[in-house]
Amino acid sequence: MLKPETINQQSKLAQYSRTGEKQDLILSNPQHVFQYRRLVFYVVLGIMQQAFPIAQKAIGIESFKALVNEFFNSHNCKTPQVWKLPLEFCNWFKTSNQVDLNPSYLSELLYFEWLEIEVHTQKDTSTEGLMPFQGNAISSLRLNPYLKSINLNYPYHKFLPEEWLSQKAEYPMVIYRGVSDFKVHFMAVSKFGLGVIQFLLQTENLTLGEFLEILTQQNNEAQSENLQKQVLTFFNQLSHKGILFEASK
Amino acid sequence: MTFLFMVKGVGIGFRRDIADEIIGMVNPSPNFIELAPENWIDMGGYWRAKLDEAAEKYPISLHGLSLSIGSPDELDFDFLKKIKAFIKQYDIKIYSEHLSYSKCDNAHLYDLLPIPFTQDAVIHIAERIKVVQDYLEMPLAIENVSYYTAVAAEMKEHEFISEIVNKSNCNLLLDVNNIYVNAFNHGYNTKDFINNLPLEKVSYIHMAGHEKVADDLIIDTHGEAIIDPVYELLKWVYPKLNNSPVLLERDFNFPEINELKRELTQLHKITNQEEVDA
Repeated sequence: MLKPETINQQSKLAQYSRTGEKQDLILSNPQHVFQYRRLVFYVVLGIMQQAFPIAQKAIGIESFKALVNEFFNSHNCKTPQVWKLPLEFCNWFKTSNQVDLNPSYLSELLYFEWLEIEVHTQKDTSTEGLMPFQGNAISSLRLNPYLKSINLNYPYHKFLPEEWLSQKAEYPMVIYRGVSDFKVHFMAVSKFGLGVIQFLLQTENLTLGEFLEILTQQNNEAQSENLQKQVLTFFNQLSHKGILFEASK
Repeated sequence: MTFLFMVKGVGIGFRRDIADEIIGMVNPSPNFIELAPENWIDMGGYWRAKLDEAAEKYPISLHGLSLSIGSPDELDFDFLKKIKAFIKQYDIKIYSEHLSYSKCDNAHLYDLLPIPFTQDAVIHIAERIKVVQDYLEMPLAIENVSYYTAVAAEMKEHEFISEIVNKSNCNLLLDVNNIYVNAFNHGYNTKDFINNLPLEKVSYIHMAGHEKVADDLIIDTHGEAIIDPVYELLKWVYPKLNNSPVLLERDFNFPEINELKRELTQLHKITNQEEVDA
């Protein structure tokens, strides 16, 4: 069992490395202890800079560095896998008082940048049985398994940072990974398209026929016909992009 | 997928920046690759495909970063479970970790902090190593780490390492560069230090470069070429060891691949007891 003095010294060195605040440590080379603060902080900063290049550019390097410092000081990093730490950063930011001190887009932007990492690194799942979408009424509709959808409030992909706040609106977006090329792609979609994708994400093994039937039930005849055309056009677009597939039911 | 599990000879750290170069390396090609499981567990997509491509070509050894064997915190069995599954998936025969701590007060720090060289820490760590070895059903090799200041030390570093290795019956990863770095930083003799270690327990060797940042301080960066005195130290100690595999660590500031090949060649010559080029 560790003695309290040993635990105390370990805890103090860890605390110093996290915060840079001087601690009462028994050291053989006290002039070199700052190396631990430097090394530890720059590992975390490096990971965050790699994960959030747009956010860092938008708020400036010094502000970003200060934010990471605050995160590392106040948050107990849970994951043993440092590449997953950006998600903890996103979640910390959302619930911290830093939200009020930073531009209103920042929380969403951090999450948006994280989604790219999440999709890029998402664990592989079997895509056996997936075939190109051909409009077969009795085949199941299957979305690309490496896909996230988000309804952005700011146009990070369309405007410069100084214009984001004035262009606040709805910008539905799909982020997905190519099933065979592993590349991450972004696709702006309509609000209707986002609704369709989110509906498909919540349903399993729905056939095209069943999907169109649901559409018909929820709308009058004239609307349904028009919507069905829209949906089929949209599905063909999704298929072309490698987002929609079909599989035998 | 089939794996070639014998880790022997001279290997190189598998890093993303040079993944393609390592996979395509010839004359010489490494005999094995080493990777940090933390950087690959749960990862799919492009990088998992690259790892699988490398695993088809080379045996793999694991060198962990986050086990935090010297921590006052409890061992993380959820994490160990993932390590065990990864070991099984890639048929891995060597798993090493650092004799340091990287988690404290329930917070990960993502770097290696020096453990106080104390008798209670020896007992604490030896017990934890035994638990890990039992859980993973394989030996753990622990690495002598570089450090820039000792913390609350009550015993000598070589005594600390030796007692832990002997009490836990684990293997020793002899990091030759770390010995050079520590000898410089803390003023001891490298050969005396090595002679005081349980060399019969050395199962694996690390070689790397470092950076002298002040008149009295070298930092173990893994970002430079190995220097001649470190090669000389390996040449001196290698005959005392059991043909342990040697790993070239290079984590950033990557040179042209021919430079890494030159280092691999030097290491091959030493392990084969040939003359080393100046």
